[in-house]
Amino acid sequence: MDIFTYEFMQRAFMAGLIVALMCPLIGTFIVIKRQSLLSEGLGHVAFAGVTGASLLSIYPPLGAAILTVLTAIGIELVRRRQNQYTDMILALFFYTGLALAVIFATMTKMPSTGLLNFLFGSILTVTDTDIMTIAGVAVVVALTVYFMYSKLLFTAFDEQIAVTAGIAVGRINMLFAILTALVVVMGMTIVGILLIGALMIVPVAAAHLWRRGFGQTLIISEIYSLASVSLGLLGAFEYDLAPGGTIVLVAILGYALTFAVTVARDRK
Amino acid sequence: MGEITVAKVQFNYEQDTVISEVSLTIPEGDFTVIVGPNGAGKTTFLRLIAGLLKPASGQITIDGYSVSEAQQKGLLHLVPQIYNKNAAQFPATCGEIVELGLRIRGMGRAERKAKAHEALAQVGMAEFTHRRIGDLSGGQQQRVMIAQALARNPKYLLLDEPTSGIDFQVSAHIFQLLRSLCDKGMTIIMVTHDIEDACKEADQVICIDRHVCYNGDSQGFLKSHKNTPLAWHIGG
Repeated sequence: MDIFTYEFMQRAFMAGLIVALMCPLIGTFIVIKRQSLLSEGLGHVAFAGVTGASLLSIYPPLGAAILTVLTAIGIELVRRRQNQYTDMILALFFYTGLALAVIFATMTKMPSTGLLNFLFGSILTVTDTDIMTIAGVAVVVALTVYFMYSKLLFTAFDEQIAVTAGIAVGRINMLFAILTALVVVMGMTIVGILLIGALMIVPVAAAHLWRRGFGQTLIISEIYSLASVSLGLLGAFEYDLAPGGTIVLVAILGYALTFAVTVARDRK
Repeated sequence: MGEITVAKVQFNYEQDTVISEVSLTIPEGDFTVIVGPNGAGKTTFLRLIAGLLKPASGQITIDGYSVSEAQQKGLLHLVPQIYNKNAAQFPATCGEIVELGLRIRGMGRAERKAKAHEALAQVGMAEFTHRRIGDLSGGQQQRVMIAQALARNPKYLLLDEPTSGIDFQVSAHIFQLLRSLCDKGMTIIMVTHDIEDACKEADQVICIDRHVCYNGDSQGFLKSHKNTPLAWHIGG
């Protein structure tokens, strides 16, 4: 295909598919823990990290990673004290992140195109260094989920039973929050800060419509995610659209089609 | 012989004393039922034994270990109230849910599946192995949760109102199942409002109303509390 004769598209596909694999790996747990707001809000905090790093002349993704991970740790620490108000705690942190982002953005000398790249993604401009960074983080996330899978799953199932069964639920939740933060920052380049939450949640939401067990839901989520990124990039290239938005719209279309199919199936 | 020993345990919630200076022993191998009026601290007491809450003062030991040591050694398993819990809507099959407790032990896939199937069969749910738990009725969900405990085979099984919202036939079946587990050596500690049926199967009744107001055999409890204000409160 012509599209793959362009080096920037090769890099875009490589980075996009790595992120596509990672997002449902974390997103599946986010959805069953009923923390869908987490990925969305951490994206807002990442923007504060990007603008703050720009002010301090630090590599923006590094600033985003530091602030997002620290926020994830903070959320988990506060959530332990006020477990029944998780959504409110998330909202407090995210408003803080957004407020800081607004202030930093007006102070920074970063060109507005640079800021827009982080907000809406810039997959067509990813460099080999970006791909190496994304791949490195992906390996860390994938290995951690692989080795901690049983404990992550038991904790997501029911924290009370998990504690009684001897699982260090606090540490597992903290680890999960950090992994989420890393995936948010990693996905920032692909679909942008404003849409990274969608890539973590929408493929998982579509997979849930098939009403399968957890293992199969995870695999189906991966398929939706890979298809969304691939078709989204192809569509963006073909029709000259913004890649981030196109990827997410393809994912939403996948959800809508699945919804229609499963409703029709259930009526039979 | 192991046992759960509760020594002068007190638990406060903000300014209120929920559990006051409770001391008792729960012998190994007994079917113990915890009863009491609403808000009397029954669930709090169970959660203290499970290690989900820490006492303000006093001490709980399980087979001579602290509660956290007992958790680490896999001595405990809690079956919380099924309703309004994440567990009831968890997007997993019954087989996967029962396997959860075996996964954390690092058990291989084939052995895990066999044990999960065996545990589900024990509660009469083998045919639901591949069905999602959210698609089942409350009674069926509760039986899956008990199957999860059976597969882990803990020494002490703690249950918080396992028959809440379940019809009397299924309740009776669950109590009989728990009795049979107890006869095989498992220690059962159960909070319930279903006193008449629970007492048929229980060895020991602990009645809690902030402090212990009865601790003895089940028949003695039924006789001693008949026609008392407490009996009216707890439905006995």
